[in-house]
Amino acid sequence: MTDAQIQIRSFIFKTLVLFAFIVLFLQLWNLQIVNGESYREQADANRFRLAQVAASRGVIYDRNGKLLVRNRPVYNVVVIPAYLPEDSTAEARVFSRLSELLNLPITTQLEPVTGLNTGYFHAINHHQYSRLPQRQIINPRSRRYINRPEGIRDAVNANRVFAPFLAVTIAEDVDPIIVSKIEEERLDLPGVQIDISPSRDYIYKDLFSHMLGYIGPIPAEQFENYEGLNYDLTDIVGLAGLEYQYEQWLRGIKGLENIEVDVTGQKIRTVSQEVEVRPGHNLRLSIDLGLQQATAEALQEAMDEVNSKQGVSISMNPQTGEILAMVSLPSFDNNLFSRGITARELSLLSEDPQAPLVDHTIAGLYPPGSIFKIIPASGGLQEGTITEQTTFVDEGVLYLPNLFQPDNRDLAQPFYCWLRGGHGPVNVVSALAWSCNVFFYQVGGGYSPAEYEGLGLTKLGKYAQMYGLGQATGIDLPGESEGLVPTERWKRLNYAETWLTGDTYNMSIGQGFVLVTPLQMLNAYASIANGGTRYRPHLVKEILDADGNLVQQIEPEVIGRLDVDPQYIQLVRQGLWGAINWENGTAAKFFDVPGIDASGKTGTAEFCDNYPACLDRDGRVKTSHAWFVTYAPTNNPEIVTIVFVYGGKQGAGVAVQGSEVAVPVASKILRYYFNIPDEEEEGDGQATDETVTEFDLGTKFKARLLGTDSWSRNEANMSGFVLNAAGQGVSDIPVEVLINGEVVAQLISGETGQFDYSRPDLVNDETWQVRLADFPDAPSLMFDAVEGVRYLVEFEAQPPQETAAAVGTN
Amino acid sequence: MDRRIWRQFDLVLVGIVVLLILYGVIMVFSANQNQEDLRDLWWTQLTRAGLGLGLMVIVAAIDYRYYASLHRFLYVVMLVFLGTLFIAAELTAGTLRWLDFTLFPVQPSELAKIIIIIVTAKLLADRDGEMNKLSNLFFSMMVIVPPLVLIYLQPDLGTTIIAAVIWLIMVLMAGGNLFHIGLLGLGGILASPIVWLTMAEYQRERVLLFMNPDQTDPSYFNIQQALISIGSGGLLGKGFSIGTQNQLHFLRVRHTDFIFSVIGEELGMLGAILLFLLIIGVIWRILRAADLTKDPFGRSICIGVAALIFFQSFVNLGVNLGLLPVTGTPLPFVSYGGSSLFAFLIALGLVQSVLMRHKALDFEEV
Repeated sequence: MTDAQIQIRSFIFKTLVLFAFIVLFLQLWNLQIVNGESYREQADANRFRLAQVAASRGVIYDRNGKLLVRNRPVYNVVVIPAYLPEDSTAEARVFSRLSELLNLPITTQLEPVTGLNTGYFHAINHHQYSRLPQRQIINPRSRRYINRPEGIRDAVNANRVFAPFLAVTIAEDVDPIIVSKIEEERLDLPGVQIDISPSRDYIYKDLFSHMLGYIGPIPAEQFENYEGLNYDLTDIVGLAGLEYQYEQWLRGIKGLENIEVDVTGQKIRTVSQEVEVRPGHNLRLSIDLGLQQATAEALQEAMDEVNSKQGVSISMNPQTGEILAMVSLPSFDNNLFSRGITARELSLLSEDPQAPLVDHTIAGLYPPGSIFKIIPASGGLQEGTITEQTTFVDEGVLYLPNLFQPDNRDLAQPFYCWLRGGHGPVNVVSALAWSCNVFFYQVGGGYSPAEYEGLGLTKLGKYAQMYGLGQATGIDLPGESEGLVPTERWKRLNYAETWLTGDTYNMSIGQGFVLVTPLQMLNAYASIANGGTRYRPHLVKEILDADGNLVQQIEPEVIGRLDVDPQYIQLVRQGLWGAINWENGTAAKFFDVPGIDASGKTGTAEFCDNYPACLDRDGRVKTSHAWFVTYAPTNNPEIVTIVFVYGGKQGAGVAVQGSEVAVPVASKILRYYFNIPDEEEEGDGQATDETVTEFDLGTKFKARLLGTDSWSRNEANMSGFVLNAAGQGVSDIPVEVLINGEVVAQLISGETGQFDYSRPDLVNDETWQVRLADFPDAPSLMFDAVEGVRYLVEFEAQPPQETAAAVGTN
Repeated sequence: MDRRIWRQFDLVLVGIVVLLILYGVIMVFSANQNQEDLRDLWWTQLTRAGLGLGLMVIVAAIDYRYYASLHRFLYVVMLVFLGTLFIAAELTAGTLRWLDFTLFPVQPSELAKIIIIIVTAKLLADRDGEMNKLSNLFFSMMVIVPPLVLIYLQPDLGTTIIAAVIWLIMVLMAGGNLFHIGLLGLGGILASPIVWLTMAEYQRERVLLFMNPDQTDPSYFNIQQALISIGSGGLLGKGFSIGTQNQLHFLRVRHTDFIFSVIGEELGMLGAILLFLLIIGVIWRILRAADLTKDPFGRSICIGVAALIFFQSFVNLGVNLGLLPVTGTPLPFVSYGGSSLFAFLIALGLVQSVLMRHKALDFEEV
């Protein structure tokens, strides 16, 4: 090649270089000068967001300013896939460290990384099988694992290609200690971030569950109700109780601000504030935390004694309608809901026959029994069908003549007094004090042989309504029932039968068709206590803003007045005073609040959930609810308290008298209220507190197949619990597993009553039978085991007296 | 060694390169200043630059003709490295471009580019003036095809193309026949379906993406953010270390492949033009060395290094500016990365070595 050629080619090369850079320059010009403005806008669109600022939800205090609900930060661990190390080895290191810290598997695609014997899996097992929510190990991580059984890598890779900057939540509600560890190791864990979201912490858990309610995401089917109120689909709202009722006060106003974000959407700074955020208002309740605790404790104790599964107690200030304590048992832990309840936990709660999710104080409908008697009493006096002097003789039974053959005594229907021997001559005061049925049969329904005309159904109904029965009290809680004050028309429509005098008799003593909520009865007595005014019961006393300034005070609201002459009300009050203060008053024996002048009324309401099992040999109903209402001090009362204990299972065939069960509960509540110490230390020991660890050989069991679960191994697994009647696990109980009739395994229940059995190499169509080896009478469970499935079973001992209906599941 | 030859050492070239490196270090600092795990990379880059400049001096001190005698050995070593890498990659079922040496991680394909330059230069020098023969052209092509195939199989399409273009420029500058090259190009076009079929899935996606942008694709996100970064920079830029795209991490692989976007955003068109001028300056000084050198081998080396720096810069800037499909190609001297920096400084050492000795021959003869 000649020098000239070389120079030409060198020149061409240089020209090419210059040309290339001119092309680059032109493109640079095109981007920066020609389209610069558009790109600047795009860059701004990238980094500026109009973001909502969540308003912190208001908290709730009791009347003394004690916090009942607070907001709690929940720490979630998220991974931003794009920020993970590019090197796959380094990425694996991040995953394995996270796995170690969070106790989560890296992947579940192949086979479980962790073995059965680790604490983590143990926690899951426990979680799965614990039937009662309060006994579950609170392990948020295991909860999440059940909801989303995938490993860290699986979760991260799920959407990695399409949304590399979308934060993937790998663990929710992580222990703050672990969070701080992750923060410390931030440099070694690129791509891992902590995300904080608010949650609700119900400090006293099940003590206030019904009253406070809970929060949760807006149910999809209800979203349209919230749409007009400036809610987003993802917002958390109050779903029950006061959280629901006062949602608009508690929620606050969301702020709107212009923020600068980085590529992950994380806020770097606030640019400007468009709408200022206003935190929710706080509520101050009229509830007294201490009284609530005392009430719940006393009620639970009484229920345990008679083996009752349901109970209610409410205390109220009769002068204002302020509720002081309000307990419905059984209860539940509303934190379950604020954390995000699993489907399983929810179904356990909602399928419980005792309906722990229902607030029985306002939604429970029960026959009022004798506490209803103030209604015929005041009605009769006001209508003039009885006077102070009217006296009937109670012989223990009243024969209502047959409608068509009034003279045939054999056809007459007997109506008994609870005291078989009869009370003798009674007037309205003593009838209330002794709770004489025979007196009120006649006051309500009349007595034709004596040509005495009573109030009759219509007037009885009128007075029942005057006391607020058959209608919601309007308390500031959702879900209140109206109850039922029957009419002739109602009976004809619902039973296609005529109203009979016997029905009026029953109604006069609070039996038969009439149904009330405990709150209605409480409010009825409050109006007696305060001399005739019905106030709307309410829980919220004051609404305060976030700085503690009063926004709204809830004033007492009159919803009705008794159209009864004050002197007649005074007579009723005398009767109620007698019930406690006369030596032979129905509550005298069990009422024990020294130094306090109280009045009250007991009630024993017969009911029959399960006809005819509820009848005794004589054909009389043997199951009954216990009621007691009391107010104190008698003159100018400060507190009115109602106690209701659902029919216990005490003794064979002996109906529990309301006084015996319910009165001591009210005594304890009043003693707490009036600050009167217990004089004698009651022997606490004999209560059912101690854990039963052994069964009598005669114990009856109920066996249940609770459900199935996927099992990621090549085997079938069966796990379960042996529980005593109180629902506690019992250890050292032998459990046999039979396959196709042959005993293949002898298991012993562990400390928590748990037992497990796994079987690999499953032959098709194996039928497993599980039974308690020491209890041949106990039902056994049979099911067809399939590989890859876990069967959750349970043996629960039945209380000794109950005729256990053992249910074997296929 | 004759001290006088150091007089020929091109300090201007070194000066421009040092400016480029410092420019890069400053931008790496800006790109990573609020990312804790990468915050100190600028310092790493700076120390490596010092090391690399030392390496350059050492390479320059050795007579480049010595490498000519080593070219067969170097060729074999390169093939062994690339082959090892290929097998290792097969075993780990993924892309593996790095071999972990104790001193620093070296990307064999970076060194391969230099060895290809030396080997091609030697072949061209041996056939000086005869490159217009098709057989010679064909022979030199056959020599570089095996390493190119191995690099391509890594898979690293970007480096393959760069190495091929270097070879092409070197051959043309050594007197390759334009008509033969045209034939070769025709063959290349005919063979392109084969290339397309053997390309890795992600490579095909990238090419398709470039031709037909799909806005939901994550790679599109990167390109788009690079364009937004550069475009939003305007004439004067948003200011050093306060570019929003860069600081808020909308721009990805900021300190390596997309460092130019950081410059474009923060320092604007002026900063970009400064970079262009510096790169052109480097190329010019190397081509000056080529022009000064009478020895065909030394000349070819200089042409090769100039072609390497030119084309790799062009590819990187073209990707940044949205003119070319995405390839993982660093910007010479500026992008963060020890391997690439060392490779370019070694290449520069070769140029200096050639330059220092372009007169030595005459002196000895006189």
